[in-house]
Amino acid sequence: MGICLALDTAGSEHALVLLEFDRVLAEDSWPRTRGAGDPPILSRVQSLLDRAGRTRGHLEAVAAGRGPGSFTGLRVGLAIASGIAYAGGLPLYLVDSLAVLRAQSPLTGAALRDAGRGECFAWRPGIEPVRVPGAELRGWLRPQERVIVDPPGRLAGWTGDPAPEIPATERLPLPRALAQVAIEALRSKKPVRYHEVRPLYVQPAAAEERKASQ
Amino acid sequence: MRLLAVETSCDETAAAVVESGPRLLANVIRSQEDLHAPYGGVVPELAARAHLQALVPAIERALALSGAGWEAVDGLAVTQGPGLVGTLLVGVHTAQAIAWERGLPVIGVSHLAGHLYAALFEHPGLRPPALGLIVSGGHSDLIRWTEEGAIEVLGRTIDDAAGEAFDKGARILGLPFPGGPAVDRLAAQGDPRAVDLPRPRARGLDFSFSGVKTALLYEVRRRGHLDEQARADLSAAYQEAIVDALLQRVEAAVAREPVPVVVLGGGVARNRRLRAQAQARLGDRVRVVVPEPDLCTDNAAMIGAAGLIEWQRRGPSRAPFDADPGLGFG
Repeated sequence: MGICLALDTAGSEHALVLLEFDRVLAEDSWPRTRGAGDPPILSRVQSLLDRAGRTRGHLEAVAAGRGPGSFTGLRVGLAIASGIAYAGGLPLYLVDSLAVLRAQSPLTGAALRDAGRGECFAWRPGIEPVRVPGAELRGWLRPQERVIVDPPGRLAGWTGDPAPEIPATERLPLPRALAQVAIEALRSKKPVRYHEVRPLYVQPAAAEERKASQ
Repeated sequence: MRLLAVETSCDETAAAVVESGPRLLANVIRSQEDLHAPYGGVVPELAARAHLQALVPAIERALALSGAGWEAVDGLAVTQGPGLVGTLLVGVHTAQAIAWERGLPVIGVSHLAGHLYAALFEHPGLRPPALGLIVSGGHSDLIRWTEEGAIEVLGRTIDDAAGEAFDKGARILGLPFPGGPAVDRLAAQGDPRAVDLPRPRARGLDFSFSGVKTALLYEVRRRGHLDEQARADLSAAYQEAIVDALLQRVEAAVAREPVPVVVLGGGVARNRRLRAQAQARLGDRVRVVVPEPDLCTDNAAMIGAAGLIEWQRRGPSRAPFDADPGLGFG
């Protein structure tokens, strides 16, 4: 696969990267909370191509984070990814956003992302992502396990112990982690069909939860 | 000019291909009715999730049905608002991503204006000035389409929308979601004079439906058990009250601002009693135009029609742009 656009909009930081085979041509990241003057994603994609001296006609694949994470972020990211892939006739690959988070450090055992309502999405290789109440997280973590947390610094609020968290300063930039996971996906995964473009929600819609509890 | 149009403002995933005229070349609607029926109403989060999976396949289908490929498409039109923010986001971003990739211009249009312009497919000669009654699950607006092509709101609901009132009334009567078609069907077997429900009132040309809904609730509680005939009679009386209230306002507007045409649009304009009564009560004074039923409910054809008109007026939108859940008539 030649030039691939990868994006992940699941977490508190969003990332874009333009890959040529195993090489990062250009990258971008920005906080989820967009300021009034901040450029939207499509403008950032165009800037990325401009910086790399490429055009949209050079794109040969698209990879997108499927979550879990912010419902709105995922919706926007996956809508853009599937729109570009469909219109360009390009294969679309989905990658796990907690795998991207975890790839920010080789020391990481588990990746944790704030899921709201005092809970977090938790994942480590070999299991499916789960939703864990913050109060139960201490029991979920393995002894001596190092973790990457999104947003950074949140672990102490859940477990009272900040020590297992890998500090933000010791992490690989998110676009670089995304590049690693996307390259692996391009090698090993099959592209999805458009009706299969579904975020990994892990948590049901509130109405579904209410109905299930009735 | 040929546009690919996209609509995701609520619970229908829709794509269409239209061309100047307007002529409808393809119209694909993927309804989420079954998904929301167990909840008795549209669940925004579920709607947004379903759009993400259904939209690109709907667009693919619309393009295939149109009989031409991308090379024949001059641009895209997408519902920018009003609607549910989570569902609008899917359409707005997918459409803009497609437009970006294909190097095509895109225009964001008002869903409400689309309901007015849906009438143009069957009545391409329709021109302003006209009055419009746009009634759906989220809106009840009485509007004036001016000679300059602008849309002015003359009156709107101060509480429930007419479609919302039908849904809530249906729930009170124990009828399934969506309530409007259920009330319409059952009302055909009932006597609207069997029970006297109050006519909704509001100031000026505004609408209000909460009073008649409460009156229905009290009547159902007072009766306790409802047999099928009682349910049919109450459906007919409730429908009559809503239809009467809507048309009273239209009649008042016609008297105040004489126009040659009144256009009905929106999902409630599928209601058979409203369609018949509009013709019966207004037909001697104005031409009453109502789109075919499938173009009254949410669809992308009407977004394409709005796109063609707005393109003439203001050109394509400056992309990228955001969804605007509070957008009016544009």
